[in-house]
Amino acid sequence: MKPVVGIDLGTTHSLVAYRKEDGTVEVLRDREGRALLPSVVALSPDGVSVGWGARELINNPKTTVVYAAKRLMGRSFEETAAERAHLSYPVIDKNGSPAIPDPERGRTLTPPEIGALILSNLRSRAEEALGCAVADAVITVPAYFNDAQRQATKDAGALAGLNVLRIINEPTAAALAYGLGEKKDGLFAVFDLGGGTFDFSLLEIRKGIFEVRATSGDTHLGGEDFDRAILTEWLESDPGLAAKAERPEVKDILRKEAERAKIALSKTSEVTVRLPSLEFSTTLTRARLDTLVAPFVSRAFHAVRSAMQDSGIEPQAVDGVILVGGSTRFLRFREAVAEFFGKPLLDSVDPDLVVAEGAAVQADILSGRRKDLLLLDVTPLSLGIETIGGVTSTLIPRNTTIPAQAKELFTTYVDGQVNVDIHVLQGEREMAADNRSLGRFTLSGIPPLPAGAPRIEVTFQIDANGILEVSAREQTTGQRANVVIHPSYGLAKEDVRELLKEAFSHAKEDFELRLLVDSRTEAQTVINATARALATVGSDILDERERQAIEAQTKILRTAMEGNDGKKVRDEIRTLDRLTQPLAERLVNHSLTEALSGKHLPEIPPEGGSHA
Amino acid sequence: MTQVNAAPPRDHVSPFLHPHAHGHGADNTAGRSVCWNCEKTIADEDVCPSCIRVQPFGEARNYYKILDVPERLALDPRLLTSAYHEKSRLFHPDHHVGDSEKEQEIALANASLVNLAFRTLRDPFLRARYYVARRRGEDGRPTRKATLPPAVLMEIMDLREEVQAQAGEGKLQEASARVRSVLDPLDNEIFASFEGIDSIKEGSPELSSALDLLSERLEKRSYLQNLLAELKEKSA
Repeated sequence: MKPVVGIDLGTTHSLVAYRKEDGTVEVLRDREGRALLPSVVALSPDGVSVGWGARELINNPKTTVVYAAKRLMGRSFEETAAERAHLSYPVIDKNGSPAIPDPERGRTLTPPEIGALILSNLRSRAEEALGCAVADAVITVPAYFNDAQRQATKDAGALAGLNVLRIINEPTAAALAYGLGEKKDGLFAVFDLGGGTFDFSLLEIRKGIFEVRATSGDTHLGGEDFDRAILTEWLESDPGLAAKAERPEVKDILRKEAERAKIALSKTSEVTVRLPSLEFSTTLTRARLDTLVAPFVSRAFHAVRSAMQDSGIEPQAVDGVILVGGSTRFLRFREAVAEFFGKPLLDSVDPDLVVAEGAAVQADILSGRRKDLLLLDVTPLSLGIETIGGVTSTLIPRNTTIPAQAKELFTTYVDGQVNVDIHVLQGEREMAADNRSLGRFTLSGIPPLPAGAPRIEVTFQIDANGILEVSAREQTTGQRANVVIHPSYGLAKEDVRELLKEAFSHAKEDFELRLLVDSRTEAQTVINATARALATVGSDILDERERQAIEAQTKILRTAMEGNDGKKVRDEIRTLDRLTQPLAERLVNHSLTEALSGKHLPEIPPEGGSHA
Repeated sequence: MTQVNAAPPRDHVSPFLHPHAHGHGADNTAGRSVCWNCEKTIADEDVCPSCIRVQPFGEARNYYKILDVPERLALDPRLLTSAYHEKSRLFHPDHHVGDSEKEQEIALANASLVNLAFRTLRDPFLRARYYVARRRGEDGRPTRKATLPPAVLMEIMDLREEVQAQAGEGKLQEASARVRSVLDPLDNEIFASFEGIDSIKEGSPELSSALDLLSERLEKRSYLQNLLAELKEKSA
């Protein structure tokens, strides 16, 4: 069976998880054993890098280091003004959409393309860990993401060569990860505070059905705001420091110090920061930090109250609150949540990993293996069209369970009118101009009739990804006109298709090739380690027959490395592993015995004879 | 091209517009159809008994029939939720990922209708409006608004003046409480009438007056709800 993986494409970190046959969920790690991949892409003269390596290049003047691209995802250039002010890399206006120049390669990259680079990296990681090609994925988004942001995330997946089976909401994924449907029924709240966004969801869980009752959030609220509040406090208290912080690398150091201070204050009540090189020293108390973040706490609870009100459920009725996102480690928020609900906080799953783990569970459901679980999610924002006078007419109110369909009849405004403009909107405001425009289309071919006579039926269909499709037709005559639009966010369908073609024509790094390259690297590491081990041990540990077998297999592996069959290389590595296994065990035993008798011993090669 | 916005039609279109309720003539094969896949004649069922493929909902499926719950005003919420969950398991697109395009299409359309039906029937007041329209033979589309008797209208106008005066003095809490003091007993009256109306036989002269009274109460309730919403807006 083809594996379906779950991916958390986060603002600061991303990760991938998989649910195994035995039902346990595993976060797939890189070769260094790290679960998290920084959501960072570095565009440098030597090439494009992603993740930890990219993050190290942040102060390299020749390199553009792109981080937090999720904040730009699916939004117009204009909409992202506030975000761009906090970013240290250049963002240009490309046909109304934000784009990042990559002069080395003579191109610009849109946020979905940046997302695609991160997703490709995770895809390779998953393929390596699972030992087979990975094409299908579930990707998570903040519950409060609008239609365009969801579509952009889906496109990023497609650009990374992934077949995105489902876009699911992060808080809902978290609830799945807790296995609540299997063990416990009830009403649960999910409080998801990440680096940049806040999401709140209320779920009713009964016999494996996860029904989202209401959701709300704030796309501009997260841990980074707290760091900035601390930083602002420091800069305002010390004009000399503010002058030094004009330099981006100084500001970067200060921001990291602010983050460190914030984290420390979850354990101690006071923290002292000393930066002799900047002649700066200060003390921050937990009480002061609580005051600094008070406005953010009240913003978060404004969203919480709104969702509770929409659902008509009292806070006391909630059975437990799931904490998601690194920023829920922050004490002030934990206190506020406990106070508001008066119920136990659930935080046994690492808040950094829980979303990816839940995505893996949903991936398992979609692969057809889990018919016992089902997610019934809602659309976070109301959807409608503009009617006469610039007023929004809502067809699907927020917190409607998806998939959802709504039909409504409209008519013409002037006699003999043969066209109508259908303007699709998303948002809660009464006036169309205050809501987000998802797209416009014209329905033509309406018979010239007196105003008010034609019957124009507009249909909204939201699929299980929360993505909208709109169509319209005129009913009074046999003649029908039918238009379907996919709301876009600047990257049109054609653009995506072009980019995809490009991606596939450059697809030299397909799975087989990657497997081969990776296997060769791995083989070299194993050969080196084996040689070192053989050089250090005598016949007391390894007899001649065993030594010869290992040497013979090493030769076979070397030959395989020169060929082009990645799988063969991998198989020979495994055979060598088996042969060196007893050696590794004996070395460990030997060193323990030696250590107990107090003798000095030869150093064991760090990789050992066997590698995990 | 005439750049004119679409306008709502002259006759009020209810949000309870049934997706199947228009553009079709009398259905003389009510309750029976042919499986789109194996072409066997089947009853109006969710799944074809012979090839086990999901079937599109037939024309005769109103919201009650979509969820397979009794067509009653007094509906046990637990029964309703169980029925909803059962239908969701059957039709939700998540359980049809590997299926043919046609099956996915049917699953999406049916799951959307299941959600719409549940949304309507879960809320007792939305359910009551839908029920009244159906028992009047309007197939879910109320053609006329209930006209409130002058005495009731006067009562509402007096109440409005009273609470607006309170709101003007900044006593929003008191104003809301005053509206609630009328709304809450009304809600109880509406709930209390459910069982009785369910038991009235079709065609009985009692039925029409009972439905009129119910829709009058619902209409009064929506006036009061609007008043509450206005007050809430002021306090925000």
